[in-house]
Amino acid sequence: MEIALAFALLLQSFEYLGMKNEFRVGGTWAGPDVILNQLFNFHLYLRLLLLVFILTVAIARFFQLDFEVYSFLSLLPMAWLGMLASQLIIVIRTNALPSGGAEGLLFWLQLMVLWIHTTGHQTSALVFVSILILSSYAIAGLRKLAKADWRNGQALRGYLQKSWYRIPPYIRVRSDGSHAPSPSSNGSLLKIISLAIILTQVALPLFLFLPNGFWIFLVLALVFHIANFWIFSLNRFVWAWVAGFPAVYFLYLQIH
Amino acid sequence: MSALKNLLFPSWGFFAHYDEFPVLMISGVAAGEALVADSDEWFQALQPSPWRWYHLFVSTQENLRLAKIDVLITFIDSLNSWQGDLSDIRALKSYQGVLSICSAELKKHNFRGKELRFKIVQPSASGELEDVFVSAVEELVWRF
Repeated sequence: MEIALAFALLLQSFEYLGMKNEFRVGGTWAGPDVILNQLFNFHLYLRLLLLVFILTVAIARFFQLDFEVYSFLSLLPMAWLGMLASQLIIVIRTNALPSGGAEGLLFWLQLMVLWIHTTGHQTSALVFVSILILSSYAIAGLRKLAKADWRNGQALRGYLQKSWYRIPPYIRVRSDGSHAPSPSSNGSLLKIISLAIILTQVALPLFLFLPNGFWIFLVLALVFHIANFWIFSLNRFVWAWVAGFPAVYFLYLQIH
Repeated sequence: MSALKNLLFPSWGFFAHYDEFPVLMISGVAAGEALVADSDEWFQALQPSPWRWYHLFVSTQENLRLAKIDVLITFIDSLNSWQGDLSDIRALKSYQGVLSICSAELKKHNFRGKELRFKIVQPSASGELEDVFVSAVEELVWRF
């Protein structure tokens, strides 16, 4: 889980570095103090270094490489504490989350990795993470199920036609219907897709109780997240949830 | 700090509640300044960049746009629950955030003026776009 999480955070860090002009004078989140702006941008590089360090040590330990890994292990809790502090600094500075749920999950995953490093209680942390992930699917599915506009496909039509998400042009139809027919203009198809989404989200946690059910869960979840990226451009959800899948696998092994 | 609250307590309500999506419009012309050679008085801000497969890994511009939209949502939430005089809303941090977004957008358009206005529009029940909020003429938040 640590390697997958560090990889997800590395990608997120590259994105924040790409946004650094927004924290400089003239940018959206530039503060009045130039030195503080520079310190904030410096911290984005520091965050990248921390992640490279974490990834190096975690990979070396995982693959048991011939590397003096154990002399660095004691530094890992400090590195993760630094990562948590960095995420809080970024959120307080911007008061914005590009992908709310993904940022929230990444935060809790970091907290749990820090918990493992400081207390050694691996089981409790992994079970907590897996419950967090499984509940995310179930709650999202049940909340959609409770909404009539989701059950009849109208909500999905709205998201595909009028939302501010970046929808591929061959899926999006203008609200005046001036585009050629596409999946988002077909009411029956939208209803079927809506019900399939709800069913998948509600059923995902239940697959863990089946023999070999984890692999069904993994394939369905990956397809679901990649589709979300393809249609809504939500890339951070893919990596945040994938980072938590080792914990789900751990829970699956405990069940069976 | 709504973002901090959402970070610590994610709601897992992804896409469950559908509502009409507000749109942020900006004008430099309304304040008497020409927006380069652009003849439109209002233009839509926060437009997405083209989709690319490698955005699966790093999608800086799209996530930046979504972060800015989150600032806009925070302002709209404050606006909806605002009890006092609407002219006092300028003191809100989220209002200043939207103002900064507009300034940064105008900067991208090589805008040479010093003032701007922004408005938030939303489709009404009849489908027509109607103004939800129109700002006063504001100075650009450029700190050069």
